[in-house]
Amino acid sequence: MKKNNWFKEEFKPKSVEFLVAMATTAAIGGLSYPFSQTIGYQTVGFLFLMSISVLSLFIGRGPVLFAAILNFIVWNFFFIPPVFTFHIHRIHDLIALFAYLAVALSSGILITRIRTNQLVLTKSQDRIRIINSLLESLNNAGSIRDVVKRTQEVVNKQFGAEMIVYLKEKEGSGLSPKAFGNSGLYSEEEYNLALSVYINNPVTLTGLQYYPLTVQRGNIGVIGISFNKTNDPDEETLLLVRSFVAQITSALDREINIDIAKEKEIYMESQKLFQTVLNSVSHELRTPIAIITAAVSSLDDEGTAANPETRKQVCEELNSAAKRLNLLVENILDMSKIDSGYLRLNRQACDISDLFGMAINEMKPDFRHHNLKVNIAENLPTIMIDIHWFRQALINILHNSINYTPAGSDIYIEAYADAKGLVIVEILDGGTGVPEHSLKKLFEKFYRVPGSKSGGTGLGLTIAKAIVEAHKGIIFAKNREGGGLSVIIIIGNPEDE
Amino acid sequence: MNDSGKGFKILIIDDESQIRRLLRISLEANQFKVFDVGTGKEGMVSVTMNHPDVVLLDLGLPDEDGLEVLKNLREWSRVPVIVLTVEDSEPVKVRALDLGADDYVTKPFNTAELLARIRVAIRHSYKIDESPVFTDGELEVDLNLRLVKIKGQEIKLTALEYSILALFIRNAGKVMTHNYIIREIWGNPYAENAQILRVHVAQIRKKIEKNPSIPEILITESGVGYRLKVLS
Repeated sequence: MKKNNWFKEEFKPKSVEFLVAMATTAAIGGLSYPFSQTIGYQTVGFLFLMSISVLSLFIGRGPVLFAAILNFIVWNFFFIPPVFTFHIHRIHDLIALFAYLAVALSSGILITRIRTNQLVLTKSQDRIRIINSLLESLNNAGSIRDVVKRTQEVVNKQFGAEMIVYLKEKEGSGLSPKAFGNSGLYSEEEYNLALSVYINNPVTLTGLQYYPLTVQRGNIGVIGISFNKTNDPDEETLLLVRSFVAQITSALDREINIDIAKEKEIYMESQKLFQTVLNSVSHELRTPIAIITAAVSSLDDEGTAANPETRKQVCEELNSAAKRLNLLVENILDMSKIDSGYLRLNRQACDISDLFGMAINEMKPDFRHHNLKVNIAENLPTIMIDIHWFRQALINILHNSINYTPAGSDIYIEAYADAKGLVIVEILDGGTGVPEHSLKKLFEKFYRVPGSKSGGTGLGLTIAKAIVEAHKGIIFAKNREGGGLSVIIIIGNPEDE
Repeated sequence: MNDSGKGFKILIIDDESQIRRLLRISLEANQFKVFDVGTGKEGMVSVTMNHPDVVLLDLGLPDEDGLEVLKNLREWSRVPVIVLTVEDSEPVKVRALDLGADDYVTKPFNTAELLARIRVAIRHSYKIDESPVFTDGELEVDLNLRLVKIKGQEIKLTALEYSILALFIRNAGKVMTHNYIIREIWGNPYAENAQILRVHVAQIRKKIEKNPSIPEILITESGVGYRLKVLS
């Protein structure tokens, strides 16, 4: 793991630096002592001064000043005559000695100060760079989980630390025990610590460091950071961590708000769907009930009951309303069977023309106002299907065609096989077709083409689609050229797939 | 009763073809002449072409809201309109009545009930058997003499109670909204008068009903208003 050590680089441990200072003084003193007669003790003073300048580039202020004073003593004692005493006879030696001390101290202080400033500057630039990289990463985050993941990456890279995030409960104001980030950091005690931080209780933390994620309206969660045990964070790191927490807080807050908005939207959508379903189902249920009530009560009316012909007509209406109600109930039951995954196919060999024969026979009364034209190719392969369910699918599609085809117009049923042995069934109505963007939606549950006439729940084609797809077949709709809708089913035998 | 239609013309505006067929059977059996259409637009055309005596208007039409049809119709026609609504839609009923519907029938409806409403609408529209003396069941009211009798016994009503009862008599069989009654009696539609109206109706019921808690003459139409039920 690459660890950024800028915060450790400041100065080497002090004791080492004092040793370096002492060693430097000893070395210069020791090396120049044999030559002091030749080069003169003044030159040695310059060497000491130079060593201070050089040292202050590498070691801290204390050790530099220590070296300056040490040099002062060594120079005075060992070099300035009379040697081996601290006495100084000549006035210019005294001046040189104190001038040395003044220059050494001030240059030592100045140079170390410049170094410190530069170090601080570099550090703050580093900090800005790190926070920027976090910000950049967070800007591209698309969810709460993503924000945590990206933060984890940066925290790991910069501090070698692991982290865990707890967020406020969606409903209510407590802290959810659901942990994001490194779930290895989760335990009941840790969660309780996080909770204390969350409700702003003062806690003494020894292991993970917890920080509340605070926005204007209160705490939105808690972040826990686990630093490497051998690598305790210093003040600088903690400062940086605090900036991190602020950035993470605003990123999480943003994601939470987006989530809330999305949920609200979904809720509104489902409310709208529920209302649509309720409207269409209640209308569909009420209409046949209204017809039955009116018909039964009209049989009680003298005017209607007296005439056998009208009585017969009323009974026919009663019958057809009861059938309509039955179809609706069947559809709702079928839909709930399909929804609950209860659709079990009982496949058996079936002749397509037989299947249509059954469906059409059952629907004879419904076709009385339309011209049905059936064109089924001979020698269609027998296919393995569930006859009950597939017949129901065809009936639903045909009902749809009848509903949207004006009386007196044609409805076509065509079936043929393609080269691969797949059977293609087309049911073509003589209605007005549907807008292109509605074609796919036709098969969605409770979808009704806007502005279409009443009657129908928007379930029939949904059921047909579920049945065809349970048979691994394909169903789709397209507009016919010159008007009308064409519903196409492509189905093969299971072993052909 | 099966000649009660006597050639009066009824226009049915309903998108459910089966309902239209059934109404046609019942109405024709009662000697009404029936026109039926499935959309609001056709309905407007049919009113101008056929001059129906009563319009039965379904509020759930595919092309436009039934209330819109009613509003447009009322701009130029006074033909009695009976609205067909579903249950639990009181605000819609009130709105329809405010827009000028004469009455409403809730689906699922009883054919006899519908026929009765049609006859009431025709009677009011042609002012048929409008006489100063109203007799129905045990109730007898002489609007000229301001006399109210139950089973031949004279009943004492306060002046206000009498004006409310007289309003009901003049609109016998028709539903009236709270607001309509308040406007007719007090001349202003202040909401607090609804409470006062309730109190007065309760008083009238005490005097004319057999059992005031189960009224048989002054019927409450929940969420809408009141109706004076005509038994004959």
